[in-house]
Amino acid sequence: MRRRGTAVAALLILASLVFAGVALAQRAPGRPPSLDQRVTDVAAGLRCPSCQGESVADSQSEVAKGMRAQIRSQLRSGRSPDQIRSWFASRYGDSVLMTPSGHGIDALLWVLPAGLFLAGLAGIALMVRRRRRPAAARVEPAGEPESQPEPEPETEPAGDHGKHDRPARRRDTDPVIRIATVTAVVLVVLAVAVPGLWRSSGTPASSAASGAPRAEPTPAASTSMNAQSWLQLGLVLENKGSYEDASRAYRNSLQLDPGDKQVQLRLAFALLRADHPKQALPVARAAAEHNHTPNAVLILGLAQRANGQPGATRTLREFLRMAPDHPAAPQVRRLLKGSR
Amino acid sequence: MRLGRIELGRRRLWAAGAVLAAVGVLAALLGYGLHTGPTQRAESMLVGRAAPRLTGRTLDGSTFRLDSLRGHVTLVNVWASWCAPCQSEMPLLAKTARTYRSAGLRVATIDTRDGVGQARDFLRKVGAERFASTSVRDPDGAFAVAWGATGAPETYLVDAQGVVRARRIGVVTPRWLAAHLVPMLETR
Repeated sequence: MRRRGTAVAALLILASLVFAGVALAQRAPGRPPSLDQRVTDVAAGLRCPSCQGESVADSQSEVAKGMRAQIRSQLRSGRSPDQIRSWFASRYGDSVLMTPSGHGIDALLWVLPAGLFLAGLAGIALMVRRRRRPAAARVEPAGEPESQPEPEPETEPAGDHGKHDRPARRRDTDPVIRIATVTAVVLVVLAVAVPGLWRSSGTPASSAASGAPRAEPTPAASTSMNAQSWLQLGLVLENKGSYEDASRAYRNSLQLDPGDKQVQLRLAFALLRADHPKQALPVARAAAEHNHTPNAVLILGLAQRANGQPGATRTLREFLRMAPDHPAAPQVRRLLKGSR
Repeated sequence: MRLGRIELGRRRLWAAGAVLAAVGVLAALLGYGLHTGPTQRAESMLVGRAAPRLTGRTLDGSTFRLDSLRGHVTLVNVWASWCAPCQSEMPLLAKTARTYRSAGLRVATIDTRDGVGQARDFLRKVGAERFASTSVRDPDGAFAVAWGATGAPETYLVDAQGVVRARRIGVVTPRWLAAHLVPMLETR
Protein backbone atom coordinates (compact mmCIF):
# COMPACT_ATOMS: atom_id res chain seq x y z
CA MET A 1 0.00 0.00 0.00
CA ARG A 2 2.70 2.40 1.11
CA ARG A 3 4.90 1.41 -1.80
CA ARG A 4 2.15 2.17 -4.27
CA GLY A 5 1.73 5.63 -2.68
CA THR A 6 5.45 6.31 -2.96
CA ALA A 7 5.43 5.25 -6.59
CA VAL A 8 2.52 7.57 -7.40
CA ALA A 9 4.24 10.47 -5.63
CA ALA A 10 7.48 9.80 -7.52
CA LEU A 11 5.57 9.70 -10.83
CA LEU A 12 3.85 12.99 -10.03
CA ILE A 13 7.17 14.66 -9.21
CA LEU A 14 8.70 13.28 -12.40
CA ALA A 15 5.76 14.57 -14.47
CA SER A 16 6.07 18.07 -12.96
CA LEU A 17 9.80 18.09 -13.73
CA VAL A 18 9.16 17.08 -17.35
CA PHE A 19 6.52 19.82 -17.78
CA ALA A 20 8.81 22.40 -16.17
CA GLY A 21 11.63 21.31 -18.50
CA VAL A 22 9.43 21.64 -21.59
CA ALA A 23 8.24 25.09 -20.46
CA LEU A 24 11.81 26.25 -19.86
CA ALA A 25 12.98 24.84 -23.19
CA GLN A 26 10.24 26.81 -24.98
CA ARG A 27 11.37 30.01 -23.31
CA ALA A 28 15.06 29.41 -23.90
CA PRO A 29 16.46 32.21 -26.04
CA GLY A 30 17.32 30.93 -29.49
CA ARG A 31 17.78 34.41 -30.95
CA PRO A 32 17.09 37.89 -29.50
CA PRO A 33 13.35 38.71 -29.53
CA SER A 34 12.07 41.36 -31.93
CA LEU A 35 10.95 44.79 -30.67
CA ASP A 36 7.30 43.74 -31.16
CA GLN A 37 7.90 40.66 -29.02
CA ARG A 38 9.60 42.72 -26.30
CA VAL A 39 6.72 45.24 -26.32
CA THR A 40 4.24 42.36 -25.95
CA ASP A 41 6.32 40.80 -23.13
CA VAL A 42 6.35 44.04 -21.10
CA ALA A 43 2.69 44.77 -21.94
CA ALA A 44 1.68 41.28 -20.75
CA GLY A 45 3.04 42.19 -17.30
CA LEU A 46 0.91 45.33 -17.03
CA ARG A 47 -2.77 45.55 -16.16
CA CYS A 48 -4.95 47.72 -18.38
CA PRO A 49 -6.19 50.44 -15.95
CA SER A 50 -9.51 51.00 -17.72
CA CYS A 51 -10.40 47.30 -18.21
CA GLN A 52 -11.51 44.44 -16.00
CA GLY A 53 -8.75 41.87 -15.59
CA GLU A 54 -7.17 42.40 -19.01
CA SER A 55 -3.48 42.93 -19.61
CA VAL A 56 -2.17 45.80 -21.70
CA ALA A 57 -1.05 43.21 -24.27
CA ASP A 58 -4.57 41.79 -24.63
CA SER A 59 -6.72 44.92 -24.38
CA GLN A 60 -7.88 46.90 -27.40
CA SER A 61 -8.82 49.97 -25.34
CA GLU A 62 -7.41 53.39 -26.26
CA VAL A 63 -5.42 53.52 -23.01
CA ALA A 64 -3.83 50.13 -23.65
CA LYS A 65 -2.85 51.27 -27.16
CA GLY A 66 -1.26 54.39 -25.66
CA MET A 67 0.53 52.25 -23.07
CA ARG A 68 1.92 49.97 -25.77
CA ALA A 69 3.15 53.06 -27.65
CA GLN A 70 4.90 54.24 -24.47
CA ILE A 71 6.51 50.83 -23.94
CA ARG A 72 7.76 50.79 -27.54
CA SER A 73 9.21 54.29 -27.31
CA GLN A 74 10.90 53.55 -23.96
CA LEU A 75 12.35 50.23 -25.20
CA ARG A 76 13.70 52.06 -28.26
CA SER A 77 15.41 54.60 -26.01
CA GLY A 78 17.19 51.73 -24.25
CA ARG A 79 15.24 51.46 -20.99
CA SER A 80 15.01 48.03 -19.39
CA PRO A 81 11.67 46.23 -18.83
CA ASP A 82 12.08 46.74 -15.06
CA GLN A 83 12.60 50.48 -15.52
CA ILE A 84 9.52 50.65 -17.73
CA ARG A 85 7.42 48.75 -15.17
CA SER A 86 8.56 51.17 -12.44
CA TRP A 87 7.69 54.09 -14.69
CA PHE A 88 4.14 52.78 -15.14
CA ALA A 89 3.80 52.12 -11.42
CA SER A 90 4.78 55.76 -10.79
CA ARG A 91 1.88 56.86 -13.06
CA TYR A 92 -0.82 54.34 -12.23
CA GLY A 93 0.25 52.90 -8.88
CA ASP A 94 1.44 49.38 -8.08
CA SER A 95 -1.96 48.00 -9.09
CA VAL A 96 -0.90 48.37 -12.74
CA LEU A 97 1.65 45.57 -12.26
CA MET A 98 0.40 42.05 -13.00
CA THR A 99 3.17 40.66 -10.77
CA PRO A 100 3.14 41.87 -7.17
CA SER A 101 5.92 44.36 -6.54
CA GLY A 102 7.62 42.58 -3.62
CA HIS A 103 7.51 45.45 -1.16
CA GLY A 104 4.92 46.50 1.39
CA ILE A 105 1.80 44.34 1.53
CA ASP A 106 2.68 42.75 -1.82
CA ALA A 107 5.69 41.06 -0.18
CA LEU A 108 3.19 38.81 1.66
CA LEU A 109 2.12 37.33 -1.66
CA TRP A 110 5.68 36.15 -2.25
CA VAL A 111 6.54 35.10 1.29
CA LEU A 112 3.32 33.41 2.38
CA PRO A 113 3.07 30.62 -0.23
CA ALA A 114 6.76 29.74 0.17
CA GLY A 115 6.48 29.81 3.97
CA LEU A 116 3.32 27.71 4.00
CA PHE A 117 4.86 25.25 1.55
CA LEU A 118 7.95 24.82 3.75
CA ALA A 119 5.81 24.52 6.89
CA GLY A 120 3.72 21.86 5.12
CA LEU A 121 6.82 19.92 4.08
CA ALA A 122 8.17 20.05 7.64
CA GLY A 123 4.81 18.89 8.96
CA ILE A 124 4.67 15.94 6.57
CA ALA A 125 8.27 14.96 7.43
CA LEU A 126 7.47 15.00 11.14
CA MET A 127 4.30 12.99 10.67
CA VAL A 128 6.17 10.36 8.70
CA ARG A 129 8.83 10.17 11.42
CA ARG A 130 6.18 9.88 14.12
CA ARG A 131 4.41 7.04 12.34
CA ARG A 132 7.62 5.12 11.82
CA ARG A 133 8.87 5.37 15.41
CA PRO A 134 5.88 4.00 17.25
CA ALA A 135 5.77 1.17 14.72
CA ALA A 136 9.37 0.29 15.59
CA ALA A 137 8.76 0.81 19.31
CA ARG A 138 5.71 -1.42 19.31
CA VAL A 139 7.78 -4.44 18.39
CA GLU A 140 10.03 -4.10 21.45
CA PRO A 141 7.71 -4.25 24.47
CA ALA A 142 6.61 -7.86 24.28
CA GLY A 143 3.11 -8.65 25.46
CA GLU A 144 1.98 -5.03 25.51
CA PRO A 145 -1.40 -4.86 23.79
CA GLU A 146 -1.30 -2.98 20.48
CA SER A 147 -4.54 -1.23 21.09
CA GLN A 148 -3.07 0.72 24.01
CA PRO A 149 -2.66 4.16 22.54
CA GLU A 150 -0.12 6.68 23.76
CA PRO A 151 0.28 5.99 27.47
CA GLU A 152 1.04 9.01 29.63
CA PRO A 153 3.48 9.01 32.56
CA GLU A 154 1.10 10.69 34.99
CA THR A 155 -1.66 8.14 34.57
CA GLU A 156 0.03 4.81 34.17
CA PRO A 157 3.10 3.43 35.92
CA ALA A 158 5.28 1.73 33.34
CA GLY A 159 8.42 -0.29 33.03
CA ASP A 160 11.78 0.87 31.66
CA HIS A 161 10.65 0.63 28.07
CA GLY A 162 7.87 3.05 28.64
CA LYS A 163 10.10 5.54 30.36
CA HIS A 164 12.48 5.69 27.43
CA ASP A 165 9.74 5.52 24.87
CA ARG A 166 7.36 8.15 26.11
CA PRO A 167 9.46 11.32 26.04
CA ALA A 168 10.48 10.47 22.46
CA ARG A 169 6.85 10.13 21.40
CA ARG A 170 5.95 13.38 23.08
CA ARG A 171 8.69 15.23 21.20
CA ASP A 172 7.30 13.75 17.98
CA THR A 173 3.73 14.83 18.66
CA ASP A 174 4.49 18.33 19.80
CA PRO A 175 6.31 19.77 16.76
CA VAL A 176 3.36 19.22 14.41
CA ILE A 177 1.10 21.19 16.69
CA ARG A 178 3.89 23.67 17.33
CA ILE A 179 4.39 24.31 13.62
CA ALA A 180 0.68 24.86 13.08
CA THR A 181 0.57 27.23 16.04
CA VAL A 182 3.70 29.14 14.99
CA THR A 183 2.35 29.49 11.43
CA ALA A 184 -0.92 30.82 12.78
CA VAL A 185 0.86 33.22 15.14
CA VAL A 186 3.07 34.48 12.30
CA LEU A 187 -0.03 35.05 10.15
CA VAL A 188 -1.79 36.93 12.94
CA VAL A 189 1.30 39.08 13.61
CA LEU A 190 1.56 39.85 9.90
CA ALA A 191 -2.12 40.76 9.82
CA VAL A 192 -1.64 43.16 12.72
CA ALA A 193 1.34 44.71 10.95
CA VAL A 194 -0.56 44.89 7.67
CA PRO A 195 -2.16 48.35 8.00
CA GLY A 196 1.33 49.85 8.26
CA LEU A 197 2.58 47.78 5.35
CA TRP A 198 -0.46 48.71 3.33
CA ARG A 199 0.08 52.41 3.92
CA SER A 200 3.74 52.20 3.01
CA SER A 201 3.02 50.37 -0.23
CA GLY A 202 0.67 53.10 -1.39
CA THR A 203 2.71 56.20 -0.53
CA PRO A 204 4.83 57.97 -3.10
CA ALA A 205 7.81 57.62 -0.72
CA SER A 206 7.82 53.83 -0.91
CA SER A 207 7.36 53.66 -4.66
CA ALA A 208 10.35 56.00 -4.99
CA ALA A 209 12.40 53.10 -3.70
CA SER A 210 11.43 51.08 -6.76
CA GLY A 211 13.73 53.25 -8.84
CA ALA A 212 11.06 55.17 -10.72
CA PRO A 213 11.90 58.71 -11.79
CA ARG A 214 10.43 60.93 -9.10
CA ALA A 215 9.66 64.53 -8.42
CA GLU A 216 10.40 66.26 -5.12
CA PRO A 217 8.23 64.92 -2.31
CA THR A 218 5.59 67.35 -1.14
CA PRO A 219 4.22 67.87 2.37
CA ALA A 220 1.41 65.44 1.62
CA ALA A 221 3.95 62.71 0.99
CA SER A 222 5.36 62.79 4.52
CA THR A 223 4.29 59.89 6.70
CA SER A 224 3.15 61.92 9.72
CA MET A 225 -0.09 63.73 9.00
CA ASN A 226 0.36 67.49 9.11
CA ALA A 227 -2.30 70.11 8.45
CA GLN A 228 -1.56 70.09 4.72
CA SER A 229 -1.88 66.30 4.53
CA TRP A 230 -5.25 66.37 6.27
CA LEU A 231 -6.37 69.07 3.85
CA GLN A 232 -5.25 66.96 0.88
CA LEU A 233 -7.04 63.92 2.30
CA GLY A 234 -10.16 66.01 2.83
CA LEU A 235 -10.05 67.23 -0.78
CA VAL A 236 -9.75 63.68 -2.08
CA LEU A 237 -12.66 62.51 0.09
CA GLU A 238 -14.74 65.51 -0.92
CA ASN A 239 -14.04 64.82 -4.57
CA LYS A 240 -15.32 61.29 -4.02
CA GLY A 241 -18.47 62.63 -2.45
CA SER A 242 -17.63 61.44 1.10
CA TYR A 243 -18.52 64.73 2.76
CA GLU A 244 -18.76 63.34 6.32
CA ASP A 245 -15.25 61.90 6.12
CA ALA A 246 -13.97 65.00 4.34
CA SER A 247 -15.31 67.26 7.11
CA ARG A 248 -13.50 65.08 9.69
CA ALA A 249 -10.24 65.44 7.75
CA TYR A 250 -10.69 69.23 7.53
CA ARG A 251 -11.37 69.41 11.26
CA ASN A 252 -8.11 67.54 11.89
CA SER A 253 -6.31 69.96 9.62
CA LEU A 254 -7.83 72.93 11.49
CA GLN A 255 -6.76 71.50 14.83
CA LEU A 256 -3.16 71.67 13.63
CA ASP A 257 -3.56 75.04 11.89
CA PRO A 258 -6.69 76.75 13.28
CA GLY A 259 -6.34 80.02 11.34
CA ASP A 260 -6.39 78.57 7.82
CA LYS A 261 -9.31 80.31 6.10
CA GLN A 262 -9.03 77.98 3.12
CA VAL A 263 -9.65 74.90 5.27
CA GLN A 264 -12.43 76.64 7.20
CA LEU A 265 -14.14 77.29 3.88
CA ARG A 266 -13.75 73.70 2.76
CA LEU A 267 -15.05 72.44 6.12
CA ALA A 268 -18.10 74.70 5.94
CA PHE A 269 -18.80 73.48 2.39
CA ALA A 270 -18.35 69.80 3.36
CA LEU A 271 -20.66 70.23 6.38
CA LEU A 272 -23.29 71.82 4.16
CA ARG A 273 -23.07 68.96 1.70
CA ALA A 274 -23.19 66.44 4.55
CA ASP A 275 -26.45 68.07 5.65
CA HIS A 276 -25.16 69.64 8.87
CA PRO A 277 -26.22 73.27 8.29
CA LYS A 278 -26.17 74.19 11.98
CA GLN A 279 -22.53 73.13 12.34
CA ALA A 280 -21.65 74.73 9.00
CA LEU A 281 -22.89 78.23 9.87
CA PRO A 282 -20.32 79.20 12.59
CA VAL A 283 -17.50 77.73 10.48
CA ALA A 284 -18.66 79.68 7.42
CA ARG A 285 -18.83 82.87 9.54
CA ALA A 286 -15.27 82.31 10.78
CA ALA A 287 -14.11 81.65 7.22
CA ALA A 288 -15.72 84.85 5.90
CA GLU A 289 -14.34 87.00 8.74
CA HIS A 290 -11.61 89.31 7.38
CA ASN A 291 -11.74 87.24 4.22
CA HIS A 292 -14.06 88.99 1.78
CA THR A 293 -13.56 86.64 -1.16
CA PRO A 294 -16.36 85.41 -3.47
CA ASN A 295 -16.01 81.83 -2.21
CA ALA A 296 -16.22 82.84 1.44
CA VAL A 297 -19.27 85.01 0.78
CA LEU A 298 -20.88 82.24 -1.30
CA ILE A 299 -20.44 79.57 1.40
CA LEU A 300 -21.66 81.95 4.11
CA GLY A 301 -24.74 82.77 2.02
CA LEU A 302 -25.47 79.09 1.42
CA ALA A 303 -25.02 78.29 5.13
CA GLN A 304 -27.37 81.13 6.10
CA ARG A 305 -29.91 79.93 3.55
CA ALA A 306 -29.69 76.34 4.82
CA ASN A 307 -30.43 77.64 8.33
CA GLY A 308 -33.35 79.71 7.10
CA GLN A 309 -31.71 83.02 8.04
CA PRO A 310 -33.16 86.16 6.45
CA GLY A 311 -29.68 87.56 5.65
CA ALA A 312 -29.03 84.75 3.17
CA THR A 313 -30.47 86.52 0.12
CA ARG A 314 -28.45 89.66 0.78
CA THR A 315 -25.22 87.65 1.19
CA LEU A 316 -25.82 85.66 -1.99
CA ARG A 317 -26.59 88.88 -3.93
CA GLU A 318 -23.33 90.29 -2.59
CA PHE A 319 -21.59 87.18 -3.97
CA LEU A 320 -23.16 87.72 -7.41
CA ARG A 321 -22.03 91.37 -7.38
CA MET A 322 -18.48 90.29 -6.52
CA ALA A 323 -18.17 87.47 -9.05
CA PRO A 324 -20.85 87.54 -11.76
CA ASP A 325 -18.81 85.06 -13.87
CA HIS A 326 -18.11 82.62 -11.04
CA PRO A 327 -18.85 79.00 -12.07
CA ALA A 328 -21.40 78.80 -9.26
CA ALA A 329 -23.10 82.09 -10.23
CA PRO A 330 -25.80 80.60 -12.52
CA GLN A 331 -26.85 78.16 -9.80
CA VAL A 332 -27.03 80.95 -7.21
CA ARG A 333 -29.18 83.04 -9.58
CA ARG A 334 -31.53 80.09 -9.94
CA LEU A 335 -31.65 79.73 -6.14
CA LEU A 336 -32.48 83.39 -5.67
CA LYS A 337 -35.11 83.28 -8.40
CA GLY A 338 -36.68 80.24 -6.76
CA SER A 339 -36.82 81.80 -3.30
CA ARG A 340 -38.52 84.96 -4.49
CA MET B 1 -4.37 7.38 30.11
CA ARG B 2 -7.66 9.17 30.03
CA LEU B 3 -5.99 12.38 31.20
CA GLY B 4 -3.41 11.90 28.47
CA ARG B 5 -6.16 11.66 25.89
CA ILE B 6 -7.78 14.78 27.24
CA GLU B 7 -4.44 16.61 27.06
CA LEU B 8 -3.90 15.47 23.49
CA GLY B 9 -7.46 16.43 22.65
CA ARG B 10 -6.83 19.89 24.05
CA ARG B 11 -3.68 20.26 22.00
CA ARG B 12 -5.55 19.25 18.88
CA LEU B 13 -8.22 21.76 19.76
CA TRP B 14 -5.57 24.47 20.06
CA ALA B 15 -4.04 23.46 16.75
CA ALA B 16 -7.44 23.46 15.07
CA GLY B 17 -8.17 26.86 16.61
CA ALA B 18 -4.86 28.22 15.36
CA VAL B 19 -5.48 26.96 11.83
CA LEU B 20 -9.00 28.39 11.91
CA ALA B 21 -7.62 31.74 13.07
CA ALA B 22 -5.09 31.68 10.25
CA VAL B 23 -7.80 30.97 7.69
CA GLY B 24 -9.93 33.73 9.21
CA VAL B 25 -7.07 36.21 8.98
CA LEU B 26 -6.45 35.31 5.33
CA ALA B 27 -10.15 35.69 4.54
CA ALA B 28 -10.20 39.09 6.28
CA LEU B 29 -7.14 40.19 4.28
CA LEU B 30 -8.78 39.09 1.04
CA GLY B 31 -11.96 40.93 1.93
CA TYR B 32 -10.01 44.08 2.82
CA GLY B 33 -8.08 43.90 -0.44
CA LEU B 34 -11.24 43.48 -2.49
CA HIS B 35 -12.90 46.34 -0.66
CA THR B 36 -10.06 48.86 -0.91
CA GLY B 37 -8.65 48.04 -4.35
CA PRO B 38 -10.86 50.11 -6.65
CA THR B 39 -10.86 53.26 -4.50
CA GLN B 40 -7.08 53.39 -4.48
CA ARG B 41 -7.15 53.34 -8.25
CA ALA B 42 -9.30 56.47 -8.39
CA GLU B 43 -6.55 58.63 -6.90
CA SER B 44 -3.80 59.87 -9.16
CA MET B 45 -0.21 59.03 -8.33
CA LEU B 46 0.74 62.40 -9.79
CA VAL B 47 -1.06 64.58 -7.25
CA GLY B 48 1.59 66.28 -5.12
CA ARG B 49 4.35 65.64 -7.66
CA ALA B 50 5.93 67.68 -10.44
CA ALA B 51 3.85 67.64 -13.63
CA PRO B 52 5.15 65.25 -16.31
CA ARG B 53 6.87 66.73 -19.33
CA LEU B 54 4.51 68.06 -21.99
CA THR B 55 6.38 69.34 -25.02
CA GLY B 56 5.32 68.79 -28.62
CA ARG B 57 3.74 69.97 -31.86
CA THR B 58 0.38 71.63 -31.43
CA LEU B 59 -2.78 71.68 -33.53
CA ASP B 60 -1.75 75.00 -35.12
CA GLY B 61 1.67 73.62 -36.07
CA SER B 62 3.71 75.46 -33.45
CA THR B 63 5.69 73.91 -30.59
CA PHE B 64 4.36 74.06 -27.04
CA ARG B 65 6.21 73.56 -23.77
CA LEU B 66 4.28 73.27 -20.51
CA ASP B 67 7.38 74.59 -18.69
CA SER B 68 6.80 77.95 -20.37
CA LEU B 69 3.63 78.38 -18.25
CA ARG B 70 5.53 78.16 -14.94
CA GLY B 71 4.15 80.90 -12.70
CA HIS B 72 0.60 80.33 -13.98
CA VAL B 73 -2.03 78.02 -12.56
CA THR B 74 -2.70 75.63 -15.46
CA LEU B 75 -5.45 73.18 -16.34
CA VAL B 76 -4.14 70.30 -18.46
CA ASN B 77 -7.05 68.60 -20.23
CA VAL B 78 -6.85 65.24 -22.03
CA TRP B 79 -9.44 65.16 -24.82
CA ALA B 80 -10.29 64.08 -28.36
CA SER B 81 -12.84 65.35 -30.86
CA TRP B 82 -14.37 61.84 -31.13
CA CYS B 83 -15.07 61.70 -27.39
CA ALA B 84 -18.65 62.74 -26.63
CA PRO B 85 -18.10 63.81 -22.99
CA CYS B 86 -15.14 65.93 -24.16
CA GLN B 87 -17.49 67.70 -26.59
CA SER B 88 -19.85 68.65 -23.80
CA GLU B 89 -16.99 69.74 -21.55
CA MET B 90 -14.97 71.95 -23.92
CA PRO B 91 -17.29 75.00 -23.89
CA LEU B 92 -17.01 75.20 -20.08
CA LEU B 93 -13.22 74.94 -20.29
CA ALA B 94 -13.14 77.71 -22.92
CA LYS B 95 -15.36 79.92 -20.78
CA THR B 96 -13.29 79.23 -17.64
CA ALA B 97 -10.11 80.10 -19.54
CA ARG B 98 -11.60 83.45 -20.59
CA THR B 99 -13.04 84.25 -17.16
CA TYR B 100 -9.89 83.58 -15.18
CA ARG B 101 -7.24 84.58 -17.71
CA SER B 102 -6.61 87.86 -15.90
CA ALA B 103 -6.31 85.93 -12.63
CA GLY B 104 -3.43 83.95 -14.14
CA LEU B 105 -5.16 80.81 -15.43
CA ARG B 106 -3.87 79.06 -18.55
CA VAL B 107 -5.26 75.96 -20.26
CA ALA B 108 -3.10 73.38 -22.06
CA THR B 109 -4.52 70.26 -23.64
CA ILE B 110 -3.42 66.85 -24.87
CA ASP B 111 -5.38 65.98 -28.03
CA THR B 112 -5.10 62.22 -27.82
CA ARG B 113 -5.45 59.73 -30.70
CA ASP B 114 -7.22 62.29 -32.84
CA GLY B 115 -7.12 63.67 -36.37
CA VAL B 116 -5.65 67.17 -36.62
CA GLY B 117 -8.35 68.39 -39.04
CA GLN B 118 -11.25 67.08 -36.96
CA ALA B 119 -9.74 68.47 -33.77
CA ARG B 120 -9.27 71.96 -35.22
CA ASP B 121 -12.80 71.99 -36.69
CA PHE B 122 -14.21 70.97 -33.35
CA LEU B 123 -12.33 73.71 -31.44
CA ARG B 124 -13.60 76.28 -33.95
CA LYS B 125 -17.17 75.03 -33.58
CA VAL B 126 -17.21 75.41 -29.78
CA GLY B 127 -15.42 78.76 -29.77
CA ALA B 128 -12.18 77.41 -28.34
CA GLU B 129 -9.85 78.26 -31.26
CA ARG B 130 -7.36 79.73 -28.81
CA PHE B 131 -6.64 76.24 -27.47
CA ALA B 132 -5.13 75.20 -30.84
CA SER B 133 -1.81 76.79 -29.91
CA THR B 134 -1.65 74.98 -26.55
CA SER B 135 -3.13 71.64 -27.68
CA VAL B 136 -0.30 69.14 -27.99
CA ARG B 137 -0.90 66.43 -30.59
CA ASP B 138 -0.78 62.94 -29.13
CA PRO B 139 -1.41 60.63 -32.11
CA ASP B 140 -0.38 57.41 -30.33
CA GLY B 141 -1.72 58.27 -26.87
CA ALA B 142 1.74 58.26 -25.25
CA PHE B 143 1.36 61.74 -23.66
CA ALA B 144 -1.99 60.82 -22.08
CA VAL B 145 -0.35 57.73 -20.59
CA ALA B 146 2.62 59.78 -19.32
CA TRP B 147 0.06 61.80 -17.35
CA GLY B 148 -1.47 58.63 -15.94
CA ALA B 149 -4.76 59.13 -17.80
CA THR B 150 -7.15 56.18 -17.88
CA GLY B 151 -9.38 57.67 -20.58
CA ALA B 152 -10.77 60.94 -21.90
CA PRO B 153 -11.68 63.45 -20.70
CA GLU B 154 -9.36 63.86 -17.75
CA THR B 155 -8.15 67.12 -16.31
CA TYR B 156 -5.16 67.91 -14.13
CA LEU B 157 -4.75 71.09 -12.12
CA VAL B 158 -1.11 72.24 -12.03
CA ASP B 159 -0.10 75.02 -9.64
CA ALA B 160 2.21 77.95 -10.40
CA GLN B 161 5.23 75.92 -9.22
CA GLY B 162 4.47 73.15 -11.71
CA VAL B 163 3.13 70.65 -9.14
CA VAL B 164 -0.02 68.63 -9.92
CA ARG B 165 -2.62 69.51 -7.28
CA ALA B 166 -5.79 67.75 -8.39
CA ARG B 167 -7.13 65.43 -11.02
CA ARG B 168 -10.61 65.12 -12.43
CA ILE B 169 -11.65 61.87 -14.10
CA GLY B 170 -14.51 62.59 -16.48
CA VAL B 171 -16.16 65.87 -17.38
CA VAL B 172 -15.07 68.96 -15.44
CA THR B 173 -17.98 70.57 -13.59
CA PRO B 174 -18.46 74.10 -12.24
CA ARG B 175 -18.43 72.57 -8.76
CA TRP B 176 -15.06 70.91 -9.28
CA LEU B 177 -13.65 74.16 -10.62
CA ALA B 178 -15.08 76.06 -7.66
CA ALA B 179 -13.60 73.54 -5.23
CA HIS B 180 -10.12 73.24 -6.70
CA LEU B 181 -9.28 75.89 -9.25
CA VAL B 182 -10.89 79.02 -7.82
CA PRO B 183 -9.28 78.77 -4.34
CA MET B 184 -5.88 78.31 -5.96
CA LEU B 185 -6.32 81.44 -8.07
CA GLU B 186 -7.43 83.41 -5.04
CA THR B 187 -4.47 82.40 -2.90
CA ARG B 188 -1.92 83.36 -5.55
